[in-house]
Amino acid sequence: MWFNDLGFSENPFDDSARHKLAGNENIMEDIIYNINAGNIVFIEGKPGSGRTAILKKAIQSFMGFGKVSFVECQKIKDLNIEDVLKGKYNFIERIFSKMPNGMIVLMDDAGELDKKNCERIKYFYDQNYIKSIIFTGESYNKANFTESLKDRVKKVIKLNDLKEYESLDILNSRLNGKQLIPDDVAKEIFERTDGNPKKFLNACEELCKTIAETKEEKVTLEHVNKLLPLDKKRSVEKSTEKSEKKNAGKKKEDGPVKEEKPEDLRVIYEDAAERYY
Amino acid sequence: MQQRGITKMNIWYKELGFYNNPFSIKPMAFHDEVIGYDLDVVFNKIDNGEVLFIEGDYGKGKTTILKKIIRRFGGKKRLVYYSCNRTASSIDFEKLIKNRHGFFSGLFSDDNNLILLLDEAQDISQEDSEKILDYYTKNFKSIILVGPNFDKIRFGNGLSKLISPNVIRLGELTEDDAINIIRKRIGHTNFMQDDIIKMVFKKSAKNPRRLLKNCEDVCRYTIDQGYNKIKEEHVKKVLG
Repeated sequence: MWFNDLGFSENPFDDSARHKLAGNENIMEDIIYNINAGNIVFIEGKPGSGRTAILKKAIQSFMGFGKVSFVECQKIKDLNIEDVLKGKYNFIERIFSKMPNGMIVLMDDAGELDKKNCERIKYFYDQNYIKSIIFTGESYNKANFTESLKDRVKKVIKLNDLKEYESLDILNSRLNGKQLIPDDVAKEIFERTDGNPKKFLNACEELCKTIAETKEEKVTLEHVNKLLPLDKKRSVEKSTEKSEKKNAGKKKEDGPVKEEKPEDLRVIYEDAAERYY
Repeated sequence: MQQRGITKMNIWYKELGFYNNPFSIKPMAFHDEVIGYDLDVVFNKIDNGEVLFIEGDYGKGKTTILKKIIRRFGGKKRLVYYSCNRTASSIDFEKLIKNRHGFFSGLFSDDNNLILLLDEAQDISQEDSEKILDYYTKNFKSIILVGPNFDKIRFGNGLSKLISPNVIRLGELTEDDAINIIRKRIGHTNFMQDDIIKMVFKKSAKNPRRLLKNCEDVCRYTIDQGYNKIKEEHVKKVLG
């Protein structure tokens, strides 16, 4: 395998939970606290920003208590939370149709939950069958939650884009300090993957594969250009575009969207954003 | 190896000597919550077989009252709980009544004198609200509906008449209520004094659930900063 050639026993860029989180280390502490305290949290972030990685970390932290349910909402068509929770129990317990107690539920891509399940979740949470819930999704405001469930959400955590130094940090820990990708090259990769951790790691993986095949020592700018082509003109254009987009996005966030939000949601939302970042 | 999340850090409520989060917003967590309303009135009305409507905004304690009713009247398969926003289609009352039992006991049970709890009643269809009346005379002894605003729901005429004398509005949380709630949860500790609770209350829009959430945040912040008493500046820092 290519990573053996580079001196690794495992693929350093896989998405298993043993790795350091990309840039969101301090969020983890907050999430573990909220799970312990029995709260509902919504993690908001773009695809690839590390939502699932956080859930995987959470599973790792609470593993072995038989209390954690991980649900991928998109994969299950006729999702019934009740069945998911009871499925955790063994045969005999199911005969007595006992409801589990104090479950920790992690729901990936929860934006599409239907009303029926929202209502079930609310009920089970109120009954303490469910102790705490971590939802993830692209946008809390667009999530299909019922108002009564939304009101129970303690906090919305927003995943930020990767910062440059964080990307270097991640790379360093993934490669165990090996200088396969020099810093200036890594910065270039970072620039071209829009601060998205998943894209960044995937690009690094591809690049390392190529140098393993060609038996080169280091990833160079040429490799990067081949994988993520970007001539100078375009790069200038793109960077201005990007900054424009960023500004536009910011304006949107600050401006009209806020006004649409109902009072109390806004409070939670802003709290989450301001207090912890 | 990673350390287990549970032992990893100091959790504020454990430092204060609680095993669980004392400010949990789950209605089941604490039995004797003050809600600013005399529950015996509600119980009496249920005993007399009336139709009630409990009105209050999100987080005002509707579910808490429901839970109390369940605690008081539950256990004998006499209660049917249903949340109206579960389906877009109409409610199948026959099924609801039969399904409260397992299959076998269902065959031999008598289906009269039941109590129906309808959560999220704002989502009930007009058709259903008329159907309820038939079942009210036949199966249900008492019906309790719960929703944010009675005036805005279009019930059938008959049901409206039955309900209108029995609308229970959950009052606004007063400062004293707030102090009572918090004291019941954490006791009379020096850590959080009355004036601090008052301060948090002012930031909580008279909403019990918001109050609990805010108290949790303030306590957590204070302990994390290493103080053993909440000061005004902590509240300001956390709640703005």
